[in-house]
Amino acid sequence: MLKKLIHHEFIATGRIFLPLCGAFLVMSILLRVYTEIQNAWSIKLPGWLGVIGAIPTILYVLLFIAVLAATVIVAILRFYKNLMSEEGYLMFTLPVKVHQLMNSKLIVATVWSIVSGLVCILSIFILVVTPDTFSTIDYWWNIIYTSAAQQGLYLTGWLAFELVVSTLIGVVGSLIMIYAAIAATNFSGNHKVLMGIGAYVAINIVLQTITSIAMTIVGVAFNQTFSEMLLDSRNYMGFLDLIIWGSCAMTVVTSVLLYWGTHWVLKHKLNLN
Amino acid sequence: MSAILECRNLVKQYGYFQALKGINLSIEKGKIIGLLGPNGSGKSTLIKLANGLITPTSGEILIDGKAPGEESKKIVSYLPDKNYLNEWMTVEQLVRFFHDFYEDFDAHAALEMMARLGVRTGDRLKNLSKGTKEKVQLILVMSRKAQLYLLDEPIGGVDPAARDYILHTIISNYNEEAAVVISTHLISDVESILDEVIFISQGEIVLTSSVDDIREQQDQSVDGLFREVFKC
Repeated sequence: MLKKLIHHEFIATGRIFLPLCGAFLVMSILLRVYTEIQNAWSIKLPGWLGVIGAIPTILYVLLFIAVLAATVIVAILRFYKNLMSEEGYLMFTLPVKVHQLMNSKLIVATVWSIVSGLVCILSIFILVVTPDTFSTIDYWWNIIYTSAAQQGLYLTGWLAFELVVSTLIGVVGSLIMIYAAIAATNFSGNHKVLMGIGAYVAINIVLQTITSIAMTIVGVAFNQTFSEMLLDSRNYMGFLDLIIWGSCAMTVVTSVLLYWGTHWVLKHKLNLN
Repeated sequence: MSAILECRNLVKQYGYFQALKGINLSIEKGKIIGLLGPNGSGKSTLIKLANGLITPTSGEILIDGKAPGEESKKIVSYLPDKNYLNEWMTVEQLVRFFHDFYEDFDAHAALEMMARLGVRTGDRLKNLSKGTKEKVQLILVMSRKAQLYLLDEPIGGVDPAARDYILHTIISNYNEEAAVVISTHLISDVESILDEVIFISQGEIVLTSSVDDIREQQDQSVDGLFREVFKC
């Protein structure tokens, strides 16, 4: 059943994401062509024509923002509208488990977050790529790598892996936090939006507090303040490991708790208006 | 015969308002039952509880002996009193959706009924009239071979001709192995197809009777009795 839910979730969200990402990539190509023509012919538009000349760039920036914003907005709307409003009458009467409903939304929203991230990278690539791009990247990479290594920071494949994993955990954690806040709207009669925002802020305050406490504890344990540790080049790699895996562990623990709470609300305390 | 729907001291409270005040009820298969009561009497609340869309404050509600859950949803076909389908979906996509999730859904029968009514399956739901939307919803719900149909105000927003079609659809798709509960306050329209009635008022059941008994013993129609019981 999860497979079927995911399939239908992709249909429901793809109708927004696919045209949006498509339009964004087409706009990237158009902007690149436009810039190339401008450069090749050294066209400088005078006065008000210059404003018109900026339109492709403005459209590109707006689409860039739209693609990134859509991942969050669609995730919120799909969970709220599809589960907590009238459409919930259909979804919660399907012979499926509550966690399957949640997982289908979570998996699809995560995939779209990754896709939109990759589309943004691809778009920037379209805008700047030249025959020399790779050698330029190589050149700068060597400089950055060497100077970072001199400071005790080694940009290894392991570090890249750590960053990818922690980003993924961060994305899933953020989505679960949004879902938990939306599930809290179930307890409000007429002020659902206010309740959702309030719950989201409250969850964040609690997490921030726990993070501060954890950082202080780590500082005490190492007999140094966090900023002192940061400045001590001998610790860089170990320090990075600690930060990345520490924050990952914390995100996993809080996400599991919030997921469980959301599941409990939807399974045992559901009150659709 | 064991009850397909059973309520034991079922209470539902919204804040200080008690929507259901300790309902005890048992519904068996093979009957079409009218859940009749004025607006705000608790009809929709009872049906939503049976579907697990809201949770009881106390007491219990059982479908085929089990609390509402994944198993009960396989055997209950529910028509809510609102537009609950995705507006952007085409009728064809909705048929596929029901076919994917309900094993007892007969897509062929659904498409046949849609065609007979002149519903174009390529149309998006948002482009259909209110009445057509209600017909689409009812066809989807009645195209399942469920054991319990819970129909909340199935004829509320449609014209008399469509009402006849809807009632005809309910009777012709209903089987002896199932129970149909129809909640409505438009009694004269549904009276002819009912076997039993449950009168509900202010969260309490005030009468449970077979339609024959009402006609024979009380010598009046269900509509007449309803007007007498719920006289303002």
